[in-house]
Amino acid sequence: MTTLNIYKLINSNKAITTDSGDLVFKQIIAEFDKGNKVVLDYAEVSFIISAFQNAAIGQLYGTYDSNFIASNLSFENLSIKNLEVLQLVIEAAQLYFQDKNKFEDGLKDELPNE
Amino acid sequence: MDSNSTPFEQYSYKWPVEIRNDETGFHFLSDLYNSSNSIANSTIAFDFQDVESISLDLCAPIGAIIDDLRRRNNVVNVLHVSIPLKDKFSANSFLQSLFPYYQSPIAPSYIMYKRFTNNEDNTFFDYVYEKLLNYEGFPKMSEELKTEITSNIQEIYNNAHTHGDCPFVYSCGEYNKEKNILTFTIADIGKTIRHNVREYRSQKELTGKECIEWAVISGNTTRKKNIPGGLGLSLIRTFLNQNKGWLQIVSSNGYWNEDGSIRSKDCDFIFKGTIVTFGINLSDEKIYI
Repeated sequence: MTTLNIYKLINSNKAITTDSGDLVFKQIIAEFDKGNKVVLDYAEVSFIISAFQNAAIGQLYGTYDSNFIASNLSFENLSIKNLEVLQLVIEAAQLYFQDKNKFEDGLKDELPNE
Repeated sequence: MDSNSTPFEQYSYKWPVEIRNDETGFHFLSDLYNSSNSIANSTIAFDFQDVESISLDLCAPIGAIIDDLRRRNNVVNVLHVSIPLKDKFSANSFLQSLFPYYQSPIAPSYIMYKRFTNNEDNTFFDYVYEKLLNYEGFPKMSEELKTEITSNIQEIYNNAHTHGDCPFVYSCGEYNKEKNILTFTIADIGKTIRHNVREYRSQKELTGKECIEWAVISGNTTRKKNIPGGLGLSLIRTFLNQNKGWLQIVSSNGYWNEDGSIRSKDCDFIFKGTIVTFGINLSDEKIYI
C-alpha cells in the first residue's frame, strides 16, 4: 500500500490543472505497475476541480477496469463536496471510455473552424 | 454600423446607446466582429458618441474582438467615450490593458478586465480568489462559498482554453451592489461549441442551440484524447441553481440561458467564439460542505 500525498506531488494546495492531474495519474500508474495499492491523500489541498480529477482519476478508466480501480485505489481527506464531484468524475469516465470507440469510429473529418 | 471593404482606409463603427449582456448586446458584438474580420492593415474607430451604458463584463468579448483586429495589423481607436464611461473603463483597467498609453487617474477597482494565456491557470485562480472575492467592498462570504465560486469559475476558464483551442481567454465582471449580484464573463474567439459538437458527433446538421444543449449535460464532452471531461458546465449549473444565480452561453448562432428555467434558441447572428456569462448571488447563505 502506497500513500500519494497530492499536496507534495503537485507542490500546491490548488488541484486545478489538467497537467497536475496528469502528474498524479502517472504516479498512480507507476505504483499499480509495481503491484501496489494506492491511497490518494488530499490533506492540505484546498481547491480541487473536475479538470484535475478527470486527468488524475478519470484517465485511469481508459487503462484499467472499474473493478481493478475500486480494489486498488482509495481516497483520504476529501470533503463531502469533493467526494460528490469525484463520484461524477468516475461515472463520466466510465461512460466516456465506454462510448469513446463508438464516437471515434464516427470521427472521419475535421470540420473547418467557423 | 458603417464600414467599407477597401484596404488601408479608415473604418468607423458607431456603437448603440446601450449594450447589455443579453441577446441584443451579443447580436451587436457578433455583427461588429463579422463585419470587421476581413479588415487588415487599417485604422478602425469604435465610436462611442451615443453610448450611455454598457455591461462592464462585456469588456471581455470586446477585448477579444479588439485583439483579433490588432492581430491583422489594424490600429483600433475608441472615440468619444463619455467621462462616466471612461472612468468605469479605467477603473476596471480595460483602457490601460488595451491602450497602454492611456494613463489612469483612478485606482483600479476589484473586477479587472484580464487576458490570460493557456498556461496561466494559477494566475487566473489567484485573480479570482485572492483579488476578486477578497475585495473588501463585497459582502462577507463564507470560505465555503468563496471556494465554491472560485472552483466553478476555474472550471469555465479551463473549458474555454481546452475547447476553444485559442491563444487567449478574456474575463471581466461587474458588481451590482443594489442587487448584490456579481456578474462575470469569460470569452474567447476560438472553436465554437457548435463546431466542436458537430465534429465530435459527426452530425453537421446540428444547430448552435442543439449543440449547447448537448454540451451542458453532465458527462458530455467533445474531448478526443484519453482524459475524460464534460463536468465543468454541469457543475456550475448545479451551483448557480442552488445559489439562485443565472448562466448564459452564446456560441456560434446558439443562445442558451438558465435562470430558474432554461431558454435557448438559434439566433440570426453568429459569434465566432464562445461567451459564458453568469450572475452569482452574493447574499447566498447556504452551506457548501
